[in-house]
Amino acid sequence: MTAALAVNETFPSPAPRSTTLARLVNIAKTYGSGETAVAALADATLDIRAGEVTLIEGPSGSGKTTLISILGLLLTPTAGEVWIEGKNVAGLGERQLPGLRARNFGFVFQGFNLFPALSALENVAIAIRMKDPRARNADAEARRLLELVGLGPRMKHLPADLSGGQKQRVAIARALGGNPPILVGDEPTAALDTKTALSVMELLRELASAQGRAVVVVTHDPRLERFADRVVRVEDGLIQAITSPAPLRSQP
Amino acid sequence: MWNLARKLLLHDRLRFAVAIAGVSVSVMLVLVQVGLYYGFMDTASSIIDASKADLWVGKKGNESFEFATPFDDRTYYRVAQVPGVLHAERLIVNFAQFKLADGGDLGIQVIGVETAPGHHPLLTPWNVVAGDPRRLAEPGAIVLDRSEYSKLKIDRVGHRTEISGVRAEVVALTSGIRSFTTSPIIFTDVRTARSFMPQLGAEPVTYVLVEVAPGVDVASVQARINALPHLASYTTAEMSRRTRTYWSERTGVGAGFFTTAVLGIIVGFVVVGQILYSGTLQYIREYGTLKAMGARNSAVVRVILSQAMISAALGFAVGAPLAMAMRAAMKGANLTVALSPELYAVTAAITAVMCAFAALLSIVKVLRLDPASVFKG
Repeated sequence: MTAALAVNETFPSPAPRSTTLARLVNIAKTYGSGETAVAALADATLDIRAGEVTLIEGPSGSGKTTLISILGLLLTPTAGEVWIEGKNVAGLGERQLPGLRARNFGFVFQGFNLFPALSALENVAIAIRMKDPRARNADAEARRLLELVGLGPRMKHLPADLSGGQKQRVAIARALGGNPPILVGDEPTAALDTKTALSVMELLRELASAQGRAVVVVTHDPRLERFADRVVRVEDGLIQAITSPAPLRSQP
Repeated sequence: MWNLARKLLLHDRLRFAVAIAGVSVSVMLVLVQVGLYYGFMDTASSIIDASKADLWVGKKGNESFEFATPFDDRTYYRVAQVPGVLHAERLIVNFAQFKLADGGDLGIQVIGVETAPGHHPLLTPWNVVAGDPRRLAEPGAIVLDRSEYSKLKIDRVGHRTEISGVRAEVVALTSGIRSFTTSPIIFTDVRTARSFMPQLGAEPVTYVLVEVAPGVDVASVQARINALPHLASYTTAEMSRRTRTYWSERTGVGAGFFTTAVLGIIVGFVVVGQILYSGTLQYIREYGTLKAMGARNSAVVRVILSQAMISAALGFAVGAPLAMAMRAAMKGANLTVALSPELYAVTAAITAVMCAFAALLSIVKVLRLDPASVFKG
């Protein structure tokens, strides 16, 4: 496998390694009420640490997406605490959450979700500007991020002119806009062939190892475990196990 | 934001073209319909607006310039003797029959003005392009507009005919003086006018035009005239407004033009709203992704509003020249489309507001968009 990061170590590290960046404590989420209530998640406790790749595995409907949605401050838990930036933010309203999300999270999706009318560069730059309307040099930062993920030569291309793996790299560069310490991926390799999927996962691993970011990835693919520091097994809304697979790569 | 908005719009060029076409048609309809309305209204009050009188005096109860009840010459003298009146002139307005060269008759509107030498008349034919208007004082002399040549079947100054059985001769031609009614306007001297309409009795007068003495308050003179029995006086601006209001409201012409203009706005609203909404739905996951990453609602709303404003600006840029082309085409049909800078400015503002409102559905959609939805498949 080739080196995933075109540029490393020069990028500012968001936090010292092993620092806890986010903490979920006894999280529960119930959809609906009364007889139609569905408990999607119960008593989930999880630390997200800088420099680590955490895989979240489990069958469909097990609560994986609910877990990362709550972690990413996209969903309010029914009970429990979400600690970000040293504060329990579980009860914050929608007015405060966008700023917290912008500072702390980048998201990568299975379907890339890139604007088809914008070039790779513009897709990354617009996200930077949207996160922070006062951002200066958004284009320069977008260029740097695309070079970081190895897409420097193709930054002017539209998504339609890029392969699946390249699109996902653009999405990763976009997620890195604003330098968030935590990257959350919702099955980011599901739409990719095996070789490309492993390449994208290697890139995410490098972002954690080289830059100290926390990477949290929901996946059905057990082959990705070799990139992870921890694997969280979720079934029936409960965290059944948190294991540490033997890594194939040596940590820096 | 503008760059993103522009690229999202241009990505689907056909859809964008439809949006621009919708706004352009809307802009053109608003400009042409409102311009036609103001053109008609300008025509309706053109003779009043061209006068130099401070006050117009007529019989109480007159509603429009054209359909006014005459009074006799004694009233003219009573008005002329009101303190503060420097100068007063008779004006006769009525309808008569113009004998056509082929033997037929055509209804005309006769405007009888004072042509006595030695003073500057308060109302006289303007925009004279041929002939000698000073001959208007001669018995039977008339001045008419060259745009009525074909209707009156004449082709030159010096043409002789009969009006209500009385000999008349065209002594001069004007340009751009048209009647709001379908009857051509004929200017003539008061005495000649009286000979064209014997049915009005001896020495009729329809209006007295008043010039107020320098330094005298017009309103005080107006009050003194209004105190005379059966008379009402109006400043030239008031008289103009009354006539416009009469034609606009009593005939429904205003409602007709403005209804069409409003329909134009509705067409633009629906087209732009539909185009923006379908575009928003197309990019809903991308908007959700931006919101998930921390973009505030205001930032996403600005993108949609920017698309609306781009559509408005381009639609106006296309629609306004279309309206100018329509004005040129309608001029050939003797229709005036009054396109003023103010009308352009107001229409541009209406277009912007229309497009902003058309974007409301899309804005509500993204405001309600749950950023967590991007994780749901």
